[in-house]
Amino acid sequence: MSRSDSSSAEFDAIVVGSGISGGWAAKELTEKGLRTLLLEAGPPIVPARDYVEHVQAYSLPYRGYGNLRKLEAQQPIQSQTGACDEWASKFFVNDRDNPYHNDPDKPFLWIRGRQVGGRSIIWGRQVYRWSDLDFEANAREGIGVDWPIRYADIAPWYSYVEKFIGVSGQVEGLAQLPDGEFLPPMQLNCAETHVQGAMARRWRRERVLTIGRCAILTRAHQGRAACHYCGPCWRGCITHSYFSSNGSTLPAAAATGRLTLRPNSVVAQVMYDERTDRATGVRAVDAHTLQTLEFRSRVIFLCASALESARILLNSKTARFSSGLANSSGELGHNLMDHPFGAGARGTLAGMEEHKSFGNRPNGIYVPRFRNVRDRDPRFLRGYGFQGGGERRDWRRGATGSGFGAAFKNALLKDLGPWHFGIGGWAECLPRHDNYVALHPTLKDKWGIPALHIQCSWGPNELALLKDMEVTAAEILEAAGARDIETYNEQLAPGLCIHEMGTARMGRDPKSSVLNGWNQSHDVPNLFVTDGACMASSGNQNPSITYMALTARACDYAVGQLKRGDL
Amino acid sequence: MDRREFLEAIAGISALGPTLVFAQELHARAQAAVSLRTLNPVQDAAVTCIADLLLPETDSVGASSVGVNRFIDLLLTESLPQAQRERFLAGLAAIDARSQALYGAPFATARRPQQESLLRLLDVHARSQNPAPAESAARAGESVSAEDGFASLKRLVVFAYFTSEPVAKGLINAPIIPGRYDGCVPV
Repeated sequence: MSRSDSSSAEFDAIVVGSGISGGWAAKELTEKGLRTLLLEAGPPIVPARDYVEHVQAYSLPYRGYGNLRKLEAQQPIQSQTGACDEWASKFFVNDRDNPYHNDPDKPFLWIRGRQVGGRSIIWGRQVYRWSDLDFEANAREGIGVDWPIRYADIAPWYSYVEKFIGVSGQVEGLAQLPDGEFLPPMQLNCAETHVQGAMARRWRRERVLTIGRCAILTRAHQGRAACHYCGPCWRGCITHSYFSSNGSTLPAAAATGRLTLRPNSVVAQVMYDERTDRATGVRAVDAHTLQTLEFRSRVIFLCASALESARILLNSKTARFSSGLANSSGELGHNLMDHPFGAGARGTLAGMEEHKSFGNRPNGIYVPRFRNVRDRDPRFLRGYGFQGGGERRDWRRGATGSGFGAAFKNALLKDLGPWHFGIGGWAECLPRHDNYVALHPTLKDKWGIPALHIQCSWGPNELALLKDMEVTAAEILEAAGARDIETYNEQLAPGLCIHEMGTARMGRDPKSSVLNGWNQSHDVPNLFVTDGACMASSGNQNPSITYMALTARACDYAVGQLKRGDL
Repeated sequence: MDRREFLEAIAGISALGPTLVFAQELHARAQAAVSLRTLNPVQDAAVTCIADLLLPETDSVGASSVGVNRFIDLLLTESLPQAQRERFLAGLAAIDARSQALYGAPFATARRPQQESLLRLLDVHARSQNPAPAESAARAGESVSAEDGFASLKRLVVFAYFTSEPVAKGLINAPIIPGRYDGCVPV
């Protein structure tokens, strides 16, 4: 598309970012009749060419070991997450082109995917509803700002998105983790069933082990095939059996005939007209030509990810908004959160060696939050959920196990080894004003857009949760009769959970929040932010389903407002 | 490399010098493995010898048959950052030095029972007691310990063997598209 035809085009809506939130915004807005321009910073994805989930290790140059020297040079940050492997590193950004700054003693790992579909290609696919235990927590404890919505406001939208994306899971009837519109659950394996039974005997319904709830199809759904259990979803899925923008929302949006998708379009700013007090469009840079492009529309949805959406607004200063567009509250960029994780325990379970699992289940187990659900723990606020699972490690145990020679080799070839079981926690992070992002005074990315300075560290509550996760995981393993129990706390830097959120929070009061209860800017009525930036607290659940539900809800509201002429 | 250069190159590794038979083997290896880009013939001999002791040819292929040494050479040449590569090679040298100190010969030329004895010693996961004084003395002066060197090598050998096409496809042959998941079925 040349400058002339795109910049003169008038759209009803512009959506920035084609990941989980942006894909949903594009689908909803186009289906509701809006001519929508979807701008994506990265290149197009062609599944038949780019998805590599069935490529075997021996077909790769380094058999999955990766070219560490190249990763160190080009993706030293991205490669710290496991999915950035020899197959899938192409779905993560080049760190040299996409710099950011943090103080050396406050590391933050910003993991990004810039391509059509964004991180929906590489996400963890875990899907957990929030409850009022989460939405009421800030108000109850006097932390941050109160959420302007409650579970009843979002519950129908959870159902709406679950029915479209397909979520497999087990109904449990737990108040703190509401059930959803589930496809049949995946099976637990032998070890997990054993631990589930041991936990039920010891903790009844207080600590429940259930199969992970995930956006992976256990039967054909919405024209997509059921999972074939090849395993490595993060390398793509040619059958679109897990939810991604590419396989679900973008085709739905395209089918309306009202979607214009423009890849390689790096949005730098939202344009604003003081006279009308409205956003008028966005200014972008063509990723290849570096040409500046301008696009105009009646409503704008920022779905570029929590930090990118904040960056765009911080970079959109005007006379009225001298510290960034829509920032009369001064909270834009602040209250950055991520989920503390990487603490738990693992061990081996004796017996069950006559049984194995068949197929590569791309999902694990979940233990819903049990801290501060009914009782009040004196050590910390909020809580965590455990994720993990059981497995037999087959030949992989040989790399660090003992032995050598014919017996060693034959054991690795023919025996699957003992059952291992491990769990680690995903904890809630409290919002703090002093965890923030700001534009760096001099550092710019490859496209000349100011880079972020990121200031983020765990507070005492997060550290206390991490400690409890480590000890309590071991307690659960002991209750299950595990042996050789090892606990761990990897002391991971914030960011690595890839659940960054909170940088344009929702709230009731324009003085202390950026967005209202409809993800709408308090300051600029035709500007919406529906990615993780909107979060007023973090919960401990994997957040994507909440972004999807909030996005669909915000689109419904925005289109209603547009039709009434209120935007 | 001609034979004279080759003999000079390996002469320094042992006060006793390599046995003639070993030298011939090494030379043959040097000729055959011209494609190796990082491992020299001495290092290649240690890698190949230890790899075949770890995962010997039985009724199924062994480590050297599937080119474990060539894959390790590829990783050393193209993938491992310099510090890691140097550490790996120092680990190999430490294994040879330990063998030299204990048996008067580098690992690949030690006698088979000596090689197996040293591997048992280095396979620290299996070792339940402290090393004997002679072993402790032999360890002195190794910047990267032979134990560390062996652990690194073992990880790479196991990885290289089981990810090779003949083993992954021919021996393990896990279905790429299982089509279903069963959590608990008989082995």
